[in-house]
Amino acid sequence: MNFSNIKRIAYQESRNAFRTKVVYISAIVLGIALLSALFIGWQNAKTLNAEREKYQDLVRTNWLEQPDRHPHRSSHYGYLAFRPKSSLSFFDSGVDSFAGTSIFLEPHRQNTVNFSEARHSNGLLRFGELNLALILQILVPLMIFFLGFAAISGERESGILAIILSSGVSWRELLIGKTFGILSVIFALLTPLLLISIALWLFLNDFKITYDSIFRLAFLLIGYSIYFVVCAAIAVIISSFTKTSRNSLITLLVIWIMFWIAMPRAMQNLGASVYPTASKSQFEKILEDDLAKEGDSHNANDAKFADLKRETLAKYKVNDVKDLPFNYGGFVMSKAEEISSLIFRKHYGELLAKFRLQNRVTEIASLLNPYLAIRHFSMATAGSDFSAYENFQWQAEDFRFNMVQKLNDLHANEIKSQNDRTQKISSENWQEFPKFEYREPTVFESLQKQYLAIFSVIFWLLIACLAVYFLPKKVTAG
Amino acid sequence: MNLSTFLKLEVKNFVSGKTVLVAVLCLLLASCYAMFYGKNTIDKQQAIIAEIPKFQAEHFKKQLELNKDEFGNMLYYLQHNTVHQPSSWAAFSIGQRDVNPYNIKVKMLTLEGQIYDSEMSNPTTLLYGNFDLAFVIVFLLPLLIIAFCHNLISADQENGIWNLLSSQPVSIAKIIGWRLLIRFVIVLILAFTVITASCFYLQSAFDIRFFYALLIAFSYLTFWFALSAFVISFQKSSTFNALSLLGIWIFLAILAPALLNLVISTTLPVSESFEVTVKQREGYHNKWDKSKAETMQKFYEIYPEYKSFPIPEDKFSWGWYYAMNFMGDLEAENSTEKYIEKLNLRNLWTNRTALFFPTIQAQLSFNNLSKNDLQNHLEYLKSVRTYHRRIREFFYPEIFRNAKVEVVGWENLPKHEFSGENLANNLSQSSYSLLFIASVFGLLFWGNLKKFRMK
Repeated sequence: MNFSNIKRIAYQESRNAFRTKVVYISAIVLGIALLSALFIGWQNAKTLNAEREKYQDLVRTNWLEQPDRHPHRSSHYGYLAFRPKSSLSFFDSGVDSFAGTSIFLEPHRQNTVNFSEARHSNGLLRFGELNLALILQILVPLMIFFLGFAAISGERESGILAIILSSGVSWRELLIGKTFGILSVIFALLTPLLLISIALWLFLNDFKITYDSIFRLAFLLIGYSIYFVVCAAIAVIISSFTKTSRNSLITLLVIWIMFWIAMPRAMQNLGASVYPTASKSQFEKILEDDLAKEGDSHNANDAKFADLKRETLAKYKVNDVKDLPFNYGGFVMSKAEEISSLIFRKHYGELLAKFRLQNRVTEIASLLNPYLAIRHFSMATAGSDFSAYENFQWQAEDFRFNMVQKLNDLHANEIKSQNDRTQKISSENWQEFPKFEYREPTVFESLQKQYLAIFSVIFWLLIACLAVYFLPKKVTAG
Repeated sequence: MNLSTFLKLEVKNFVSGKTVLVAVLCLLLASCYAMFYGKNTIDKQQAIIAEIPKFQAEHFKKQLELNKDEFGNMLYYLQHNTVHQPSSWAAFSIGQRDVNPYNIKVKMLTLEGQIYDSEMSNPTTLLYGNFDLAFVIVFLLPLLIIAFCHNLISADQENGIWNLLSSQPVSIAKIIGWRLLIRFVIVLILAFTVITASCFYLQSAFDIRFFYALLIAFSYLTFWFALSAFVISFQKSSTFNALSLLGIWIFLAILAPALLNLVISTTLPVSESFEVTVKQREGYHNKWDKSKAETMQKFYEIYPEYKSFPIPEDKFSWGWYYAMNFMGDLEAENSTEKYIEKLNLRNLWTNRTALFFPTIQAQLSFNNLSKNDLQNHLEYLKSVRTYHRRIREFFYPEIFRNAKVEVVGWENLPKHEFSGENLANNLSQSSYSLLFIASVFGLLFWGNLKKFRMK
């Protein structure tokens, strides 16, 4: 392979592209779209996060300002946890807008995360969300197809193809050169825009850079670069197959419509149809039935809890719960919470696993569709994918459980059995409880669960390279 | 060559093209999948809804057994199901039905703490959206129109047949007009067939909504034809036409709605949702730390008929307990109103922008037709609020009288009913804006065609 040939062809291709007006027009359109998406996306994230922070602080203040209360009273007063938008949601909002934002944490039961942005929208949201990822994932490939549809077929039509090939340039060199030519145009257009985006992002972040954000940025750059290489290779390969440029363009546009517009919905819908999940009422029924098997702590005659009572009395060698060194009511509450939390974790874990199975259908389809591959990879890297939401829910449940159990301990130790309900503990106790602070998973934690997406991105790079490298042998100069 | 032979030839030419056949088949296939998926989704909801009376009965039986000694305590556990019945057109356009809950359960406790509970759904599925018939009509059919029209003039110019055509006695304007009409009729037949088939397969009620669906589809597709005609009338190359039409499609179907959504959600953030949640929680819980007389005073202002029932200050009573719970709703009332108002405002602005964007207009109209939009969900929430009040008012007398469980007339317990089927809607208006925009492009096309003739 002659590298100077490849370089020459690539250079020629990009120079030709820059000679046309359309490249500049699309660059301007792309630039405006990218920057406005970035700016409004940032404003949006800032507004929504400010609201959530405000109420998270208010909830904390209200908690601390509680008067003297019975611990179980406080437990029912509970806590509200708010889910902040992921730090890179302005780049790729992923499932952010479709996931709930606030959850009420109380004893005995686990609530749903409510008030997703989607519930506050009248369907506009379903058209898509404007952010950088949307433009890079959907529009840039179309632009690549547009730049590349005539790469080979155009030369064939004008008869130059035979001349190029007879001048000592091999098919392989021609295809590689053309691919690089298209890519160089795309990168020349995108690089300044991306640099502005990164600068703006740093500026809006007050130049606070963490290792995690550097890794995220690096992974996104690598991921999207691979994606563009794949798209350019598709354009060149299709162009080399078709007799006329018009056919080449039509084929590429059909591919775009099928793979970028129709297939994603169909695949995810298929996943949801194949793996149906329990509705909320069914889920609650399952929990209720399982809890009934474990005994009812509120029922004095319940066999399981009668056993617990007998064992506890025997352990402390007393005849009556009143003689125990702690408040038996609080103790039972704590045991019951342990049981119900375990049951919830088991079933909710199963439900989330079912959701992951539904997503798996789309993830596997990303082996057939590079758009799905980058979409999942991008969401995970931006920390706005399903697993991030899952993570929030478990953090909220952990927080709820710890809070309730701490209050049950106070109940067992600070409240006397006699006249239990009329007693209170000092408001100083409230200071001992931690704030709810959501810890965003690191990029490595997120990507761990999206190994299929990483694999598909690399798989597509491999396919693209192999296709450009080996396919030419089968293609005739026509 | 007279007109009828010309027409026959044109139709034959067009229909015998392999690409046309493949494209139409693809669309029929997509429509079949959309119908299957829509039916599957709504059937699943129907199956869940069908189970509810059984669950409800079992739940009541169990609670009545467990808490027969303490009526107030039983009411604490008793859940009452409400259902948002899908309309018979629900599967046609799933809209926001997958996002909003359709089975809210309420207890006699503070309502504002319960009414916003979500359904358990996979956010990734919600993100990708529904492949329903509305999607096929709003997103995919325009692409078919673009495919049919982009080379209507240019193909002949590129093939060199154009000059031959120009020498025919039939005028160029007529040729173009007839060609557009042939394509328009084929797309319309396709759309109407699909809508009619869906009406049978999805067992949608054959009433005025069927004609609304046809009308909206007709207006929307007319818009795309007028637009395509306008673009091709500039006599540019097929490539140019295809790309500019696709560019417009991307703008109308992806970029503009996405941008508008971002603008609306940034300028009209719904923080009232948090305000309601915090206020109802404080409103109820701080009553535990206040004197009972104070709470009861506020309660009697609305329910004076219970003034005569004694509420002891020094010990717990169920009358006081449910009065406290009601205080949560009362103190959040203002915020709730603001919340609903904000959602209505968002709705209003979305509907306003829809006037200028046919894609948004068509989608929102279909969601409205199938009663799966935000407005319908708000109506459902309203019905849940009324139902909760009726439940409270049903049990208050027994609670304040300290009645026994046995004396409750369970057969008179209020029932909740809400179905999108009953709500009247006039959708002909939404086609006005579509037809207006279509006629603007139609006229522009006509203007260009006139210049054509003079060439």
